This record gives sequence, structure tokens and C-alpha cells, in this order.
Amino acid sequence: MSASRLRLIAVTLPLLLWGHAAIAQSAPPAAWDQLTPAQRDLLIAPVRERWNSADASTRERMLENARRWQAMTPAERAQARHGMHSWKHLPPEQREEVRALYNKLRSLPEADRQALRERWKEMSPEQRRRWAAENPAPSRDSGRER
Amino acid sequence: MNRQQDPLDDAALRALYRRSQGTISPQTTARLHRARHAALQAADTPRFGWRLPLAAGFAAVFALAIGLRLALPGDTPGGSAPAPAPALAAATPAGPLDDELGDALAGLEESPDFYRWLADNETTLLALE
Repeated sequence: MSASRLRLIAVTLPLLLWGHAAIAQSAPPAAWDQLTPAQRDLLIAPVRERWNSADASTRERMLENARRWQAMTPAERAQARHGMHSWKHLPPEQREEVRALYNKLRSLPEADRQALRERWKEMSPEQRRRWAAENPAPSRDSGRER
Repeated sequence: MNRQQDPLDDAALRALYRRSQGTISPQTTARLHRARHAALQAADTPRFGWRLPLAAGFAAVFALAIGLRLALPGDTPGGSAPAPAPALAAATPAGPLDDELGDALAGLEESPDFYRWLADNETTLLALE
């Protein structure tokens, strides 16, 4: 084999291989129905792991939440996602305050809800913390099996 | 184009060559010999220097990278993969994929009605915080 041919191969082979990799990477991901069982398994691994570590009541709650997501309209889902985004950025103490307030409001008649909302607006951060400690929401930590 | 050589022309050219050789001085002949020798030596040494090994090295690295990609279980369509590693643990904490997976889990942890309520009331709820 002549030297010029060797040089040609040496130059073009990496390009061909790189092209193959680039094409493979730029191929659009398949729809869910076209994924292999192994790929689907990989994608749902975090949910499976969470499910397996949850107790019976938490599993029931997760299923119910999934049903609610399915039942929502696209606009409601978008609003819920917005709230979820805000939730993710709250510090743990503030999450507990918000959960406590939500649970309390759900248990009150409409007139009392409005009164509590008004009170909440007037509370200082320290008062809110104290109120949340006195009116805790159901714990989420009991939902993991060991 | 006619590439056939005329024998008469060939003989005439050879005779001319021999006559010309006779007129070249010994110094010039020696210089031409040295030049020819140097040219042959240069042809024997690698003509591409560092370029050929470098190009071959790149080719080997690319081939290895492609081989590794194909060997990964997640990239083998229809292939049986071992138990998948938790994607949340493997992903970069601040990566978009991790955000998506975190959202998927957060969506199951709390009621979407709670999230909607939070979105509706966040201005009031989070004021003064």
C-alpha cells in the first residue's frame, strides 16, 4: 500500500468514525412506545426506587397524586407545575409552614379560611413558624420503609 | 493522443543523451550523484514525520470511543441491560435531566392540587419571608 494511500486512510478514517458518532447522537429519541424494555426500565428507575422505599400509605398517596395529574386539564397542570417549581425552591422550614397552612385551610369552613388567610398575611416570619409548629401537617417522613 | 513511441525517435534520443553525457564535466557529474543520493535517502526516511502516527492515533481513539459507546447497555437496542443505576444519583445535581426527574418525583410526593393552591397564593404566602 502506497504512503499516500495510507495517509488518505489515516485522515479519512477518524472523520468517518466521528461522523458515525455525530449521526448516532443527533438521531431524535424514539417515542415511549418505541423504546426497548431496558430503556423504559432505565427511565422509570427513580420512581421505582422511591416506590419500593415507600410504605403502603405513601404508595396510595403517590397513586392518588398520579391520578390527579392525569385528571387535570393542561392549564391546571401548568399551574400545578408552576407551584411545584416554587415549592422546590422553598427552604425546608418554609415548606412545613406552607403545608401546615394548606392542611389547616382544607379543614376549615370558608369563613374561617378567609379569617386565617388574613391572619397569615399579618404574621411575622417568627409568628408563622410558631403557628406551623402548633398546627403541623401530617408528616411525610413516615412514608419510607427501611 | 498517440502514445506509441517511434523506434527511430527513441534511438535518436538515446544518441543525443549519450553525446550530452560526454560534455558534462566530472564536477557536475559528482554533484548530480550527490544530489541523487541525498534525494534517495530522504525518500527512505518516513515522509510524514509525526503526522502519520498522530493521525493513526486519532483513528484509534475514535474507534475506541465508538466501541465503548456501542458496548454501553443503554445504547444497545433490544439488548438486556443489568439493573439500572438510579438516574437521580448518577445525574449531575444541577443538570436539566435531574430537574426533570426531580419534578417527576415531586409530582408524586405532594398533591397537584396543593401545588396549584401554592401557585395561586404564593404572593400572599411568601410575603414577608
